[in-house]
Amino acid sequence: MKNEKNNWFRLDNAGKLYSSIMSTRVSTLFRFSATLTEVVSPQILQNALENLMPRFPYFQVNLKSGFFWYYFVQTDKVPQVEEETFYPCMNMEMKKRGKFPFRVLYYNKKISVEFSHAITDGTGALIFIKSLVVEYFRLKGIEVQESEGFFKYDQKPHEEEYEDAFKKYYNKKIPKLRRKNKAFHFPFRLVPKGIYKIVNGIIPVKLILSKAKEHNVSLTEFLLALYFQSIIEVVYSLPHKKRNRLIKPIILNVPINLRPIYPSKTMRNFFISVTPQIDPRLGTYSFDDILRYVHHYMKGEVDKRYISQQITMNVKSELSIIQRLFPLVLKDMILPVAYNVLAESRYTSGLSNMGKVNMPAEIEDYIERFEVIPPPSQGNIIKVALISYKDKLYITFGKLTNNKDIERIFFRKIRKMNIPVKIETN
Amino acid sequence: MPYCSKCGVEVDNNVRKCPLCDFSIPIIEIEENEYIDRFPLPQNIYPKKVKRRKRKAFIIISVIFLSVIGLILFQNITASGKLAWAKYSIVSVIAAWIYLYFFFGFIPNFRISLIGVSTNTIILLFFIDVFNGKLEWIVSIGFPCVFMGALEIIIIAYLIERTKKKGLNIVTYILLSIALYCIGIEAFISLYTKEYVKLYWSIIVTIALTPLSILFIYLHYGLPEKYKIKLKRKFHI
Repeated sequence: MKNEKNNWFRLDNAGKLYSSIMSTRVSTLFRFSATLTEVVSPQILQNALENLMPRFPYFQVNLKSGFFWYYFVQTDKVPQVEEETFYPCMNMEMKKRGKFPFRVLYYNKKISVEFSHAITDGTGALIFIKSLVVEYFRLKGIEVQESEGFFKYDQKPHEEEYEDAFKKYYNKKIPKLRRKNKAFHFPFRLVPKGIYKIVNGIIPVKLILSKAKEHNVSLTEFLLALYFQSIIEVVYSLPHKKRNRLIKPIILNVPINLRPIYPSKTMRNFFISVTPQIDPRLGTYSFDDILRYVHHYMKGEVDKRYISQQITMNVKSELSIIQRLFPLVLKDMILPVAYNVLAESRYTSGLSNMGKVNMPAEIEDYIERFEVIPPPSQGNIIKVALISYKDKLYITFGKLTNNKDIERIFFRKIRKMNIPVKIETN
Repeated sequence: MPYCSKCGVEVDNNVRKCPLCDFSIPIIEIEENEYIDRFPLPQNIYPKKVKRRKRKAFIIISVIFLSVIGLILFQNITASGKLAWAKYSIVSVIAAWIYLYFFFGFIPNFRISLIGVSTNTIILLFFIDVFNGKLEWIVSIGFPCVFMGALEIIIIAYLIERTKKKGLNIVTYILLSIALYCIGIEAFISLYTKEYVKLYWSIIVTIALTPLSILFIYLHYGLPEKYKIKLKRKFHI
């Protein structure tokens, strides 16, 4: 595919869903930010963005409505950087002419990019912000030698970066997945529309990693277990009657990046969620119980065979002729409801680990931190995302509620392990 | 660096309350370099957006109403040469337009817009009454009914506001006020037609609604514990 004006492409499997469920509350936007050690210059950032766009032609697009599906049309317009003035991850009117499925924001020392899930997932967005920061510093006069994990402005985009990897790696013959349980939901009051609360905890990555090592589990598994335990405590802190009414299995949605499993270079969505679950109705769980369960669940479930089953299920429903024949207007009405019933109601919350960010040694010291903010969701009013950079781990709670129980219990647990925690909010 | 003494977590210099437990954090002399905000003081654009959309919709509706009034006038004048039936239609359309203004919530205060809606109703009724030459029923039926309705809504709104545990008890309030309103309406009508008060159908309404309201109140508050035990003792199987 060449980078030309009016060139169009289909949305990928996940993108098709996200574009139809977008609303004021469910913006499907997530954010990556990089905090520098000095105040960001908007002019240089704009120049960096302009230099970089030819390298990311699949992001330089405009969402359009077709009769049956949305599609992306490439434009020759260039996105403009904006100063951050609103709450994070607020809805974007992507369907308007000349709007992009992402935006670049700056505020004091911080550069942020907010991507709609319709165009890419966390991995794609992370590569983009890393490339943007590298280009920003190149314009400031610091060249970097290596090019691992990001793209440079003068490289040619690879054909494979456009691909819908879901469709590529889907296998028609795999049987259907069975339906999952309905999950426990936080009974907290929502904040008014247009508000998104962020609680960011900063932890020395070495200390928490050594805690995880003590138990012979990965960091994600360790934090998942902690999160499970915190939610169980919230369940048991509810008044007796309310608890009996609301209690259901606690199911977490953990996105798995599929690029290491399948040999795809795609810059669009390519992830699948695994859903560890613990049922508090069955009895009490010690931390070790939860940890053992989560560890073995992740070991068993993050397996190419099970994952290909999920991909198949998703792509099959996308390819079903009945689904395709529904006009887009109807899809926009049905999909938000279906998403609520079939997806959101089956999760309590989500936890996504974006892993460790490495930057070239030349500019590493000019960047203080990387952060990630999960997309707001009305069904899962609290979501967690984590990312680590240099010696710190950044755990971010994105919340559509003012209630603070979950993160208080969660961070106090970490604090009790004698690990220092720093808390920041917006 | 300041810490929350309850949670043990570190917070930024300018934070006065723990972000996790709201415990107050003592002011510590800032010894190091100046502090730079990590997040802007965020604005919520959503209410503004809604307002803008509402205003747009209202302007479109106003234009439609204006052209409807023009059409009615034209039809009436060309057909009969003088203003006749169009009076009624035009007054109704204008009243509907004023109602919409209030229903769109351009006046955020509930009581003021309720008074506005009632005044609009009274004016509408006045015109409809006066068009056939003289005032007949507006004083004895129209005005009292509208006034009573507005008063009841204000009282109910006040009660709902004051009620701590909101639930089915609010249904009871509404049902009882409907019964009361029916009695009022029938009383005014019979005063106007027969010159004395005789109630009939409003009593039927009241009889139907009273047990329902008792049921809802019961469902809301439940049975006292001691009666529950008594009933269980008597009827256990």
